[in-house]
Amino acid sequence: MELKFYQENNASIIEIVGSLDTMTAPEYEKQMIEMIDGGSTVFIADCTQLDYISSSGLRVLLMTLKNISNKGGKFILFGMQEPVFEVFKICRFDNLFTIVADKSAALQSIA
Amino acid sequence: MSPKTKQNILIPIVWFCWFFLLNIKSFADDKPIKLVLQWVPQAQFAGYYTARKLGIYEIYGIDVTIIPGGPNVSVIDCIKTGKADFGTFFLLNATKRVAQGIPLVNIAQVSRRSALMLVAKKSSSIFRPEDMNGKKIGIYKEDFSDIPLAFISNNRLDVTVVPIATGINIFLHGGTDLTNVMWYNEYHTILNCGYNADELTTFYMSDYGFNVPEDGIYCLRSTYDANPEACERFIEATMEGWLYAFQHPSEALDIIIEEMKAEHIPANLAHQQWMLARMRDIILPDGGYEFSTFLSEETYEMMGQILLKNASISTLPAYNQFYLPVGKYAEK
Amino acid sequence: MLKNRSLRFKLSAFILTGTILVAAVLFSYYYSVSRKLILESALTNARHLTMETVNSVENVFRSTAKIPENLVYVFETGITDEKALYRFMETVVKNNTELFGSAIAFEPGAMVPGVERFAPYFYKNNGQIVYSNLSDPAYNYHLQDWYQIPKELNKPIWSEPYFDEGGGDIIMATYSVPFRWPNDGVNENKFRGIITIDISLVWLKQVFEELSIYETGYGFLLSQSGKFLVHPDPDNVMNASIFDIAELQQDEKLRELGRKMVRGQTGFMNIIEPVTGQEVYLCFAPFPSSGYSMGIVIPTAELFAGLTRLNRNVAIIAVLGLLALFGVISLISGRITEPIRRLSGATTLIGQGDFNAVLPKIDTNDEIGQLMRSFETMQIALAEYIENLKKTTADKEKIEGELRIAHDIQMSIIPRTFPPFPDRSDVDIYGILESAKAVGGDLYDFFLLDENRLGAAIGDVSGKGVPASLFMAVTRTLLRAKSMNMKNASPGKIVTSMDIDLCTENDASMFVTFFYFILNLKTGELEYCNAGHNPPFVLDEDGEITAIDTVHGFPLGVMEAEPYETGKIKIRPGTRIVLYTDGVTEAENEARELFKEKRLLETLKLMKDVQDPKEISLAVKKAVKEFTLEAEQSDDLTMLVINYLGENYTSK
Repeated sequence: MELKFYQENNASIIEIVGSLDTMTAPEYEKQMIEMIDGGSTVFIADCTQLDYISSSGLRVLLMTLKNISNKGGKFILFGMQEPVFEVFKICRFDNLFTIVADKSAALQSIA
Repeated sequence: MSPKTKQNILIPIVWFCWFFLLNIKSFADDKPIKLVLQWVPQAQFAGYYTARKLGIYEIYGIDVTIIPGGPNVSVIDCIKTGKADFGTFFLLNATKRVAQGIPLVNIAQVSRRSALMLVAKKSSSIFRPEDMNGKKIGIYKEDFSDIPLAFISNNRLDVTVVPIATGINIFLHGGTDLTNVMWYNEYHTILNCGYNADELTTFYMSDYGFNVPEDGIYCLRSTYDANPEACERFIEATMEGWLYAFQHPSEALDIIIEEMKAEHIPANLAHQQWMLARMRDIILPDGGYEFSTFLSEETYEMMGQILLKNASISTLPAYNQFYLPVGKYAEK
Repeated sequence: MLKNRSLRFKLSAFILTGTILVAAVLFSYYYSVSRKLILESALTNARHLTMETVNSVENVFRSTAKIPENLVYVFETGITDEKALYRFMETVVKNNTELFGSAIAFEPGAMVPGVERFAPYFYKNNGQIVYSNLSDPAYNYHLQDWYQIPKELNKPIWSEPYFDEGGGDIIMATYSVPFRWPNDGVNENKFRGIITIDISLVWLKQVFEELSIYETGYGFLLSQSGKFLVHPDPDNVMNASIFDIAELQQDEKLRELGRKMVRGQTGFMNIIEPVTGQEVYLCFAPFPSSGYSMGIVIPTAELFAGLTRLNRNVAIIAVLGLLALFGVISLISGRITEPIRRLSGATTLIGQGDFNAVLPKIDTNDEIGQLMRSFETMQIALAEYIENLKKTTADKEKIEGELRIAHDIQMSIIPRTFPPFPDRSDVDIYGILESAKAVGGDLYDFFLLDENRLGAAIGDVSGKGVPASLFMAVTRTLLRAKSMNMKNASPGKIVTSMDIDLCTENDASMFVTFFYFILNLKTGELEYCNAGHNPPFVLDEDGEITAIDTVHGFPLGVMEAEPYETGKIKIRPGTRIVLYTDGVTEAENEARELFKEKRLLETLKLMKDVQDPKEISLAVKKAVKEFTLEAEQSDDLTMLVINYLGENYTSK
């Protein structure tokens, strides 16, 4: 799994490439903690290249959400692939997380 | 005992046995014979000295004394006065003597070919007979001059003849352009005064129609008639001496050098070595060991013509009177 | 070949080889230069000696030659009668001590008309001057070399040396000078005769014998024709020429030397002396006036004797020196490499496990000493590291041991006895839980709430390993506790209550997807609550498969949200309910393909007539195994199959 970070419109954008599972979740968690501690509060997750998520992955996304929400920030996910979205739906996380179609929609929503 | 000494003893013993078996002659017949040679001891007479030294004459039942020749010895006088029984002569000179009336007979023609030469330095630009025109040619007086003069006249050469008596020095110094030499003698002297063969032009008289042999053994007719058998033995023993000398050259040379020293003649080994080798070429011109002492009538006639032409003689003695085939080597 | 040799040998060999090469080059250079210098010096000396000799001899020849030349002059201008001639000649011989004799030889009739041979000759004999006339016809002086040659060449000439007529060993030479008629209109300057003087060459012989050329060197003298006049071997004197020697020895070089000398050349030559066979240098030069020539022979061996001795001594010293050097190098390199060898030995011991092997003590500050100290440091570090490793391994083993226990504990809280209710005929259950790791986060549970009601649940804790298993344990405990406490509560209420407890103090954001149902075994009414879990499949009595795919809410522990709802269905006897976690549907094969619901459905379709939950479970498990094959199990494989038979079930 690869993580790419960049800033756009005052938002920290994380591109998640590959699968977010037991092996890769810790890395994501570490990066996220760093960025949050660094002061970022607006996060947009690019899920276009996220092709698998396990419960560990869900857990760390949930953690991100909780963490950012506690700090009054925003966490938006976009471009989710169908199988991954299915998992979200089963857990009803589609209601919990803000999931949009694409980047512009994501940017718009934080504007 | 050194091998040489052994050889010196052993070989005569072998000879002795060999000839004892083959030639049982009357040993009581030890007639004393005196031989006079035409010059001082040198390899030219190797056969005689070898035969005497090794006792070959003794085996043949003859007791030979050799009287060495030299500038003060006249062979013909010795024969005439009976001082010597046999003598060696050049064929030409002997013929002249016989023509003068001395009753010599040739009982063995030992030399089979002419050894007479004319030599020039290539630096004199003499390469062919015609180049001799206008040049000075040194010729020995008397005994050696017949053929060179005949050669000059035959080739119609316009040369200045310089009579020489002592040797080749005048030629070496350039006082003459050509000089007349014997192949076995003065030619080698020229070479060993520092001239290389390729710096000299040689004219062998035998190549120009003058192949007249030289050395032969002669005696008075009366001597032969008195004891033809002794003459035969003498010749055959002499030829055995020559055979031995040719087969054992270094031993023969030792014998010759010894004789020379005894006569106080300066003995030069290199010169004698050459001389012995050339004597072999003259006595056995075809190689091998087939000796011949035969004088053919053609050769005699040819030689006679030269003498008649230059008026040395007025008539040529008859061939049968002059030459007697004696001994087994005289068979044609 | 060198690869396997010791350092000591290599060092010694290379240094020694290098030294030998350097020494050899030095030596050769020095030797060749010395040789050259010696040779040059010797040849220079030889040349000087030769030139001195030539000069002094030439002086004598020339001054002697003047005598007949002056005679010629005097005669040509002054003397006309015989008597005057005799007096003159006698005086000349008497007054010139170096002369032995003198003659005037005339052309035929050139002094006394009609007289063929006239050659008055005066010579010394026993202190007296003796007169003789060389007119003997047998002698014929006109044909003698001393007369004929200068006549033909028209110039004065020295003769070849000869022995005195009187016998004895005195070598003589004659100088002949031609003289001519005066040009008085009568005789036109024609050749008239030869004037000669004879001198003995004994003084010449003495000059040569007195030449001191080292110890074994000598001088020799050649006549105009190359004949030896002076030579160490008396046999050669006046007998053999240099060409004769060359011919006997088949020596081309010697012949060449002879030719050069006889032609009046000067020079040096390096040849092998004919008789002795030793190498010599030869310096040669002519006597221009007489045409004789001389050579000085220097034996090379003697020339270089000193140098040869020196060389030999130097060589001996060098060899000894090199041997000593070899010894020293060998010793030193041995001393240097010895610590390395000891270190190597100690290291081998360490490699075999003896970390306390004693390293050799080396106190020097050179590279070896530094190496030694590094090794010591390494040895200590290595020992520590090994200790740590041992401890960590021990710790790990302890943890692994504890994990095994944890696994056992975990397994013990999940019902493992099948069939669970052997006395009951209305329901049969089979469950599988295979954890991916020692302990996992999946759970299933079932229990009888009362006579008629069965509660069953399946859940999947987010994550794996110990945290998940702990969370699973808590969840299961809560389930049991709540179920017991809220006996008549709906599954929704129970799940809501569980959620509240699980959300409390849940910093790790762990959650568990959960499905809980209560089945009335009498009526077939089923109430369920799905908290974010995979919808279970229902195979009805006809084999139709449906999914209970209503989801009521988040997984438990996410956040306190709205209360969970309860769903209701009714099932008839013969219905099988298949609960599973995503360990089944997300099982991966090596190609990273997922098993997926489709395959599960296909497998269940095959089971449509199978009632035995065990058979169904195992069939699904087998299908998953056959799918994943060698791939590593990534998630817990958990299934719970409940077969509802009802009161009076009779199979079809």
